[in-house]
Amino acid sequence: MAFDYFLLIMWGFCGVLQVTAAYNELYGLRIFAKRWKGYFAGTVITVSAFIWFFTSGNRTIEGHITGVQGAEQVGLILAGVVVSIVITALSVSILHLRSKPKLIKPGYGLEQIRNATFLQALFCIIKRKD
Amino acid sequence: MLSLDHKLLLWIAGLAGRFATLDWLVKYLANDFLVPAAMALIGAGLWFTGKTKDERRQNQWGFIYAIVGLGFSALLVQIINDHYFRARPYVNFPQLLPQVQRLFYEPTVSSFPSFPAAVTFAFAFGIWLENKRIGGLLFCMAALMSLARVYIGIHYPSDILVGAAIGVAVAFIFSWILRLILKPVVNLVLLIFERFFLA
Repeated sequence: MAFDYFLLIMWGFCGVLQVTAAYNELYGLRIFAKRWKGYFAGTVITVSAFIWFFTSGNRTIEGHITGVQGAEQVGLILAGVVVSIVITALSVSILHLRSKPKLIKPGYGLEQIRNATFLQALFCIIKRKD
Repeated sequence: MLSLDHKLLLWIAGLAGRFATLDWLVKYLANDFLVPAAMALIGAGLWFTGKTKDERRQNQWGFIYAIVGLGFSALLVQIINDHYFRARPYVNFPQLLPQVQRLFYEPTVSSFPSFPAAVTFAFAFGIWLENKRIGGLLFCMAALMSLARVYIGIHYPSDILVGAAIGVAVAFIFSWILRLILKPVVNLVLLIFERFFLA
């Protein structure tokens, strides 16, 4: 049950990331170039995660039996969110590996991935240090 | 004579079994996982949201308030539940037992104060402090989950009210502490996230 819950959050947040990346124009997290595709795919991914979770087993069981009580739930949510960000950032970086980044100044923060992928932003900083 | 709390419980829980669609909906709303997971995903998504850096930073502060508020309200309710036990409504009103078994499970932990109400309201309040629109949406989700639990018969309305009040109060106190005392620590955490292009 704990692993299923972790999968729900991870899978669901991959969808949420597509919606937020499309809305906020974060190139480094966008799998789909067109905004509507990001909204649509993100919604489908998130909804499918919930449908899978609730149809794949009995989810109406007390926490101390399933092992997913309050504190464990928070831990699984944070872990799921972090893994989801890593998967999305790496996927997008690999997907756009050959594309040239728009001219970005070396720097830190989310603003950097508006025009570049995580790897491109990282290499930009490494180059500057060289 | 029944107290107002009991009357309200019996009136709301008395609706169960009348409308199949409502029962189906309530079964999911009251679930331990659906609303908390949905709220968490919305809150975490807010971390990346904002047209400007300042707007996004405001949302990130909201998420931090929400997480800290949730953590400490969970801790406080856990302590209260360990020291004070109130039987679930279906124990005092056995006529509610069939609907509890049909729509939920029979919880064994103390009914008062409501743990889910405390954590969901704390989370919603933390977000609401910085983003009224999304915070309002989260408040609605928390209220629906709480109401669903009264409908099924696993919480008294007073469990929910006190749980929600604890959640909001704890989130408010810790948001104040974070803003006025621990601001440099939060800024340091945000700076670390910034280094990884995550804030």
